[in-house]
Amino acid sequence: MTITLTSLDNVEFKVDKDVAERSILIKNMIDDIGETDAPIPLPNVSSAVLTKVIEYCEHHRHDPPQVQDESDDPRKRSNDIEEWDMKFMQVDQEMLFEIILAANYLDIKPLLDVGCKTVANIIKGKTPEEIRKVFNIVNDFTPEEEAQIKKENEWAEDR
Amino acid sequence: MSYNPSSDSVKKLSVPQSSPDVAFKTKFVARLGSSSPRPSQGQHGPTHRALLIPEVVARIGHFIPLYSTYLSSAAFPRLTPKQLLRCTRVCRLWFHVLTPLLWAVVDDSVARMIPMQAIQRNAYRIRSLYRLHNFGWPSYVACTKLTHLTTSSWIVGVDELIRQNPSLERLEWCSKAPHTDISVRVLSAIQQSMGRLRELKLVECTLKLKDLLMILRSMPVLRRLEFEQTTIQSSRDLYTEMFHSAQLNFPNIRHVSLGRGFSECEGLFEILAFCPRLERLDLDSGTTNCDGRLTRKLSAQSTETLATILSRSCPRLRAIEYWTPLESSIQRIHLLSGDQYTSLVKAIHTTPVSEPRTSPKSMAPSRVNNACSSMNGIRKSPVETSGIEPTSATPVSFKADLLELDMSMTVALMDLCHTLETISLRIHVYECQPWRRHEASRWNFKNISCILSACQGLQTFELDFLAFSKADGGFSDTSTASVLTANQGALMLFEDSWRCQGLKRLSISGLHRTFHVNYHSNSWERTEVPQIQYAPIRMKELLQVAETPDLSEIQDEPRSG
Repeated sequence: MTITLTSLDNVEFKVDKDVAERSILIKNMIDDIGETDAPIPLPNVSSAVLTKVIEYCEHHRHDPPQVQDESDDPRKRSNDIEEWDMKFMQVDQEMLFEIILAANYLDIKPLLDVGCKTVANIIKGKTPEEIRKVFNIVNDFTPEEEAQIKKENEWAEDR
Repeated sequence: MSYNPSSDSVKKLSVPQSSPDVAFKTKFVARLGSSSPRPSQGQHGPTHRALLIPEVVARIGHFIPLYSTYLSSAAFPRLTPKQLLRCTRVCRLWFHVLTPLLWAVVDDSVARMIPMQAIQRNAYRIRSLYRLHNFGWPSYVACTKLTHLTTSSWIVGVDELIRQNPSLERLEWCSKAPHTDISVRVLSAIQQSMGRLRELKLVECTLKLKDLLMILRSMPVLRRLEFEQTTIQSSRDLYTEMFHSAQLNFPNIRHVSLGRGFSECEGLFEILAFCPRLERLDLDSGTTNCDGRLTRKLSAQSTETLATILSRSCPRLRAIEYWTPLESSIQRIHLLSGDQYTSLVKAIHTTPVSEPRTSPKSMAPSRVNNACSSMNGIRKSPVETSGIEPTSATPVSFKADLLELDMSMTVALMDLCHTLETISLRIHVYECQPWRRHEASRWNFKNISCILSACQGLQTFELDFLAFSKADGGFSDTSTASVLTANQGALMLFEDSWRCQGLKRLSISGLHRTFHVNYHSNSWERTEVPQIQYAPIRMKELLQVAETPDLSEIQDEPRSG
């Protein structure tokens, strides 16, 4: 069965049902409303981003449902990204964050995780100032606050 | 795009005003005065709105490595908080969202690396505490918001630690020394404070059955119970009789795991009689127990005892897993015989579930829906099936390590033909001269073919061969003829038409792989031969509706050895 999705800029995308249902949001909509030919509006996702999201879902359409693993224990967490996903995420920063937002909104946890892992890898090895520079983040600490935090955590500087 | 916090696309994780992080910030600012934050230098545009959403920032922080196995082992990774701490200094939002991640999980190795003042200052942030030793810890740690505690009787003041955490959801208790009783003070603390506990694990404990039952009575929402190297003394004393006569049961326990050493303590089986809504039973044989000696294999008599208790007491049982580590497989230590597996599978039937019984004594013969015997696998957990016809019963997966797939086991599996959805088998063949391995595999393939021709709902079928031979046995025949023989055996799978119209995954492996084992050092090497490619078989031609399979075709594999 084919599902029609309509993006923010009114572009329609026809996708297979099992591809669309990689999004838990869409899956729940279909379960609640029932199968219908009416397009499902996604007013918060642009066509460019939705194209990428659908590409991801189509590639991963046969993946087994994600089970709760031990990733909640940081000692056992893995930061590995599959090769295909790594290439998929070679986009500019704007698109990267838009994909993260779309994955968050559509409730596609594996895609959200891949996006967040990509950002975490960008952060790796950078100082706070370098992180602010890369992501255009405003430093809203006072100098005293910064000094206090640094002092309380100086035990970790060489770890 | 402009940031609109009221937009549906934005899922915000609000920080409650009463949270310690907000309180800490308020106290922090008040202490240092009210200077205005200075703007960041070098800014070249607005911050993307994704990085202003606490939920997204938290998820990113989730993947900033906090531990490293570089210069350490995977079992004992090294704490490396530097990067995450740097992220907490980026801005206030990141500080409040990411600081709790630093302290969410704390164990003994972490405590040795962190100043005690830092631990005490952040104790309220700790959610999972793994504390088995006193070294490196302050004398008093004000952890009051734990959800997970792994601890032992070594810990000074452990009873107080339990009392001050009534919101615990998981408790793992390790005894001070093997087979040591839990102290009265700790028992009392557990009984008074564990009203919300959902998971309990006891390691290297010795308990009387009555004490265990009293502990379980104080945990009304307990769903999962685990034992490892634990002995339950099932004396029929006055208190135990009272429990039996009072028809006591624990209706919320869904999952029981009998770990390493369970085969040596039948007292553990008695617990199952008090769990009428048990859905899953894990049996983990382990290889050695706590004092280094090999654990005993589950005997045929014990298997019968277990199967009887399950049949009588657990009508909702859906899954049985029997775990055997690979080291045990090589030594052939803990693999069950086909009869033992069959006995467990037969304890479960694909008939509608009757109303749950309220007491162990009034059990009618059990009628449960699904079964699986599993090896390192997770099977599906079906929905409630009371009153549902077998054909619409929830799916079942069967995963097992087998020495052989004999007739008895084959028939037992075919009894599940209406509900089986996943079959995953690993067949072990030992001392395999190639011709013997391939001959043995042919019988297995023939029986598997019979199962596939019966199971109409099958979606996944996986078959792996584990062939072991002596390292110096010279049995590494990799000739083309050997490969062809193995492949011809595999083609027997396709001799009968299959009924599984919805088959999505078919995996057959290990035909050309041999583990050459050095039994002295318990090490092994693996060899594989490049596989010969065949033209793909057209699956649709095979997936035809078949008549009822002829059981006379089921064959017993000639025993090797």
